[in-house]
Amino acid sequence: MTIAHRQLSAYSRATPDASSAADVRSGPVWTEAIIASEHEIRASLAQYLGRLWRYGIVLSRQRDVADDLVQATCVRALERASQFTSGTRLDRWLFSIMHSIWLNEVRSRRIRMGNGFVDADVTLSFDGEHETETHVTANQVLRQVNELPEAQRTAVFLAYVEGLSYREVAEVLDVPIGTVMSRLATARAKLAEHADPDVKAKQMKGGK
Amino acid sequence: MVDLKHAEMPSDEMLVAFLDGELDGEERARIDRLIKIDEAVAARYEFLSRSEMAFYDAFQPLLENAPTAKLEAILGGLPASITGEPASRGLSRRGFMAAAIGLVFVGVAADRGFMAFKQASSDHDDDWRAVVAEYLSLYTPDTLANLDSDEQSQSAQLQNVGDALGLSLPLQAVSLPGIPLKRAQVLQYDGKPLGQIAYLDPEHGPMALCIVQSSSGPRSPQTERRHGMNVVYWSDQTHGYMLIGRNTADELNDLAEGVRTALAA
Repeated sequence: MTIAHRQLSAYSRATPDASSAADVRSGPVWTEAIIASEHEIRASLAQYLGRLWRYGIVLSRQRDVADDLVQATCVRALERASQFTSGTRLDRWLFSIMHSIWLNEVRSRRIRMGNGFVDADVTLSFDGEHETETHVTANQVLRQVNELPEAQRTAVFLAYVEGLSYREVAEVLDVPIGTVMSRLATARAKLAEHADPDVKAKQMKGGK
Repeated sequence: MVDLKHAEMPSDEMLVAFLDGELDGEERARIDRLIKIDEAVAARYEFLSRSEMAFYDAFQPLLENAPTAKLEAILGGLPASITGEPASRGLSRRGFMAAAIGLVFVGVAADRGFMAFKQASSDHDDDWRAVVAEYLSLYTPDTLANLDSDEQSQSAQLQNVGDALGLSLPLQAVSLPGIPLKRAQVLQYDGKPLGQIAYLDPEHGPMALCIVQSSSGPRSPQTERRHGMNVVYWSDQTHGYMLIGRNTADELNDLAEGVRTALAA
């Protein structure tokens, strides 16, 4: 099976940071280059905090855990600034760092601690009275995505909200591209099941 | 007889990839053709297409609600790894990472995030108090003003809260002298019930007694400040408690002592 490289259109945020961070690393003195690179990444990190936090919410469905995930991701990104590959997108790199922290450290620890996971939709209910009034439709979408199992939920989020290509989703989640395809197909079949067949499907992205 | 067309039914994966614009020329043309000539394929495609939703828009409010200032403070507080700053903070890089992953709630006011890390190993005891304080800081007297305060419904609310927490909460035990009780409700923190009993102090505004289940053992009352409010917190064998409000620390201590004694009785 062949997969086209889809052009990334969902996102308009510029990413000059990736290349500028990389440029610095070609400097003559290696240690200086790393310092500069860490500096660059720190500067660029600031603009991704909100999106990282949102991914943390999608993963954990808990605000405090999302906060912690952002923090841990920032720490690790700065530690590994020198491993950032020039010419690639920093936001993808950060997502994959967060995902691996979630999977390998936080999630496993939580399960070990017996905290388990809250049911769908609990995340924001703590201060729900302040947040739920608007966007009823949006909330329905949010709820449906939130009810998907974690593996499908993250794939849907990365592909359809963050606008990552299948290949990029596979890289962030560290799974084969076929796995991404099957998660998205399963998720979509489930979402379609709950959708109102009379409503003409809205085209939000790509396709056709 | 085997239907040839039917044998060509593409997988959901292929149809979804087509929908997502992920297929290249040949595959794309093949699926496109199948949808046009094969009703079964078209029907399946139509079904899967119903899952097209305003995903991007739906997640936008979440972005707007991100605690940006707090996250920026966290980032700003991170030590640089190469320049040797961590040592001056008395916190090794590795220890810092462990703490960061240790699900420590970072002080919301972020004056500065580091204070919280002292507690890294303490069963994230602080977390819930930080969340409660943040939550209560959003309350104004109006939040609680128009709630019915009849004893019967309050006792029923307390019964609910008590049931959720595995605790007996008689109205007399949690009543505060001169400060009307307004509402008792079950919230949740970290997937576990969190009882909140809200009061409205005529002078200092909203107050709350909050209770969670806790296995960290009995601890005598201590005070702290969060979000411009005073907090008295303590625990017994089974539960952690905090009384929070804008009253003076002395006043809160006295009130807490009353509740503590009454609940232990």
